[in-house]
Amino acid sequence: MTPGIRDAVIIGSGAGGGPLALALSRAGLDVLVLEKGPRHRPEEYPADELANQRHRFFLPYLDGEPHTVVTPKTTRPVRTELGWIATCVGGGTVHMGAFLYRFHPDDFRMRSRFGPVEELADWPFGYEELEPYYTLAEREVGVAGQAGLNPFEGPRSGPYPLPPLDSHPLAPWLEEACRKRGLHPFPTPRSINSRPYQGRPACIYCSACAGYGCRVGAKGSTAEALLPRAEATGRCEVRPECMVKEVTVDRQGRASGCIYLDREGREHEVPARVVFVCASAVESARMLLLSRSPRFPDGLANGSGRVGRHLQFHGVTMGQGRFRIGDHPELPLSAWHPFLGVSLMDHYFLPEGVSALPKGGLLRFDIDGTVPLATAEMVMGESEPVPWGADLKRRLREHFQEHRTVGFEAFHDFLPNDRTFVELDPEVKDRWGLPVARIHLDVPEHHRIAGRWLLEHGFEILDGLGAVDLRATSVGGTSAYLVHGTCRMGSDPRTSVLDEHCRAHEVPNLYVVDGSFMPTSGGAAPTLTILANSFRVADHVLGRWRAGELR
Amino acid sequence: MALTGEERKILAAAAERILPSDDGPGAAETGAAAYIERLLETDGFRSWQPLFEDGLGRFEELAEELFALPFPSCDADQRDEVLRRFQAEPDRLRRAFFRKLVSFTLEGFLCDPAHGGNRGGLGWSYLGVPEVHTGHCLGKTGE
Repeated sequence: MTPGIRDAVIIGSGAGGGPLALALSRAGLDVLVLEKGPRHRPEEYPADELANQRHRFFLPYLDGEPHTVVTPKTTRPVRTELGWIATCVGGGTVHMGAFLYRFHPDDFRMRSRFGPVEELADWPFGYEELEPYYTLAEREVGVAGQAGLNPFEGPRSGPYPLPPLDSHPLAPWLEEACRKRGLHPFPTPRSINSRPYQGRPACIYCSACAGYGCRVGAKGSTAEALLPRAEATGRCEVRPECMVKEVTVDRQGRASGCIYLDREGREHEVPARVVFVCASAVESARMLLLSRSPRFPDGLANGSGRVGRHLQFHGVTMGQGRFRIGDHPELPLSAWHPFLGVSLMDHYFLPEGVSALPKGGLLRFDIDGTVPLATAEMVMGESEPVPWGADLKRRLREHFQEHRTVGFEAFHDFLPNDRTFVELDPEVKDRWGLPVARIHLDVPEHHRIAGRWLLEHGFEILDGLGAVDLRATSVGGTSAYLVHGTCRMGSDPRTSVLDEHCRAHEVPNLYVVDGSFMPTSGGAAPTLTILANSFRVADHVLGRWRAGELR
Repeated sequence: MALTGEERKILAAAAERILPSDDGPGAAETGAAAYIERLLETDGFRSWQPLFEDGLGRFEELAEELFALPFPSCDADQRDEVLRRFQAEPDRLRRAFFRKLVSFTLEGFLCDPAHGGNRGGLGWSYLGVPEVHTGHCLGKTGE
């Protein structure tokens, strides 16, 4: 490899780094992607449940690379997986469920729309600016869906590049039940190939999907869909197992590159003209805070003291109900299929008066319990006494043979607040001797209220279709791995870290491009928005590059 | 060696009642107890050994108290009675052990056979889990 200065160094290879790598290398820049985790071939992803969940294929070990968390209920910080995303080439896009929804236009103007609730803020740009990049991102990673069925969605400039995925034969029945209630179901958009696409094969409809790496390469992760195409330009190198410990600055206060540790712990310095930090919201904030210099004594680009503030996850609400196959000869329940794939945006806003923020979320319905072990755990349940013996076997048989379980899930807004943030832990260090991220987490009451409301409406739909044993599995809980907001974007350098193009207010050639920029979390999983914004930032950077501002 | 010879027998005798072989394969046919034994010698699971030793020892005590027999020599109904008594005891750590015992037995019944349980995929075929949902469909397990 050539020593010397890189045009762009991209730290992190997930939803933030992947699009940049493709767009910049395609435009002729010399790009180096540094990824902390290893690189896997698709056939190396474990498909069996134990190997995937137990052998910690994606998450780092808590003894060597923990986060710590403090909540209003804890007296001491405890080690946690909260805020970690898959540590491998492709990052969280490798094991994502790949539910690639667009945000609602109001998600970009929360403060204007709903007033000063906690720390709500408007985004410096609107849906209409991101729209072309939503369309581009959907095309680049290959999203399967059907446009035109969701009347609440913002305007679209193009259709989905792939038709919807196949679904369980119950799906049309569920959709009809929704329509009878005046609701507007649409096929869940997912970046999973419903047909062969861009040289990658179609989905084989196994169950090793959300939470797994796709072994056939049908999921549109950055590792399969974007990075190989970036490398094919001949101008992008992806270097795995490189732990970046610091972004460096020159005497003028411009970013000059970064220092990383290789697998053996040796230090390497990479000079670069433009630096992109894309390590996910918690780790990107930590990286800036770790990058101290005489010019930036409190961390790089942190003159405002806002790096790490406004951390957000998502509210998570989940419920499920069972159908006894024998009780419903009219319903095609007995089929096995991993996807139901029905979504509703009808509950994206709460009626006034329900909560401090009149905001709900997207409800997504799917079949629960097709993989055997997770399903057996679900059947075993969490209440005492634990079932065993003939009773346990009967329950297992019932679940697999006589029942089908339909679940729904909503990722709803995490209300940004001044009590939820990231800082460097003053005590705990990681296996490289660097202070870990300490997360302060205070979940506003709104999450629970919105969760209850979403739950009731999900239950109504299942109940109407004849489900029994309706059960909540999470009400306004906190997503562990959807992270945003630690380097808030805004026009005022005193109250925000990044400008409207994800460029640090204080460092003209430093960009933070992952979920960190998001002033608010949106009422849906953010992955598509992160991908689209990354393509948007790439366009802006290329404009500046061509104008000679970054060389 | 994680468990003594006695403890191994108690473990197997308990697992056979947690997933009995009444109407089809259970813990015995799928090798669930051997799976658990191996698991307890694995990194990340050794910390369960003391609780397993305590819990299995308590099975033995209860069997002696109730039936004047070693637990593995009790018949099925007697062993069920021991497990019921055990479960009714209020000890928090023993409850945690019992939950893990059931959970591990389910793993030994339904995991990918590559991990040493679910011998011959018998657990999957008993429940009628289509192969495409077992994660076994695509060849090697990626470990």
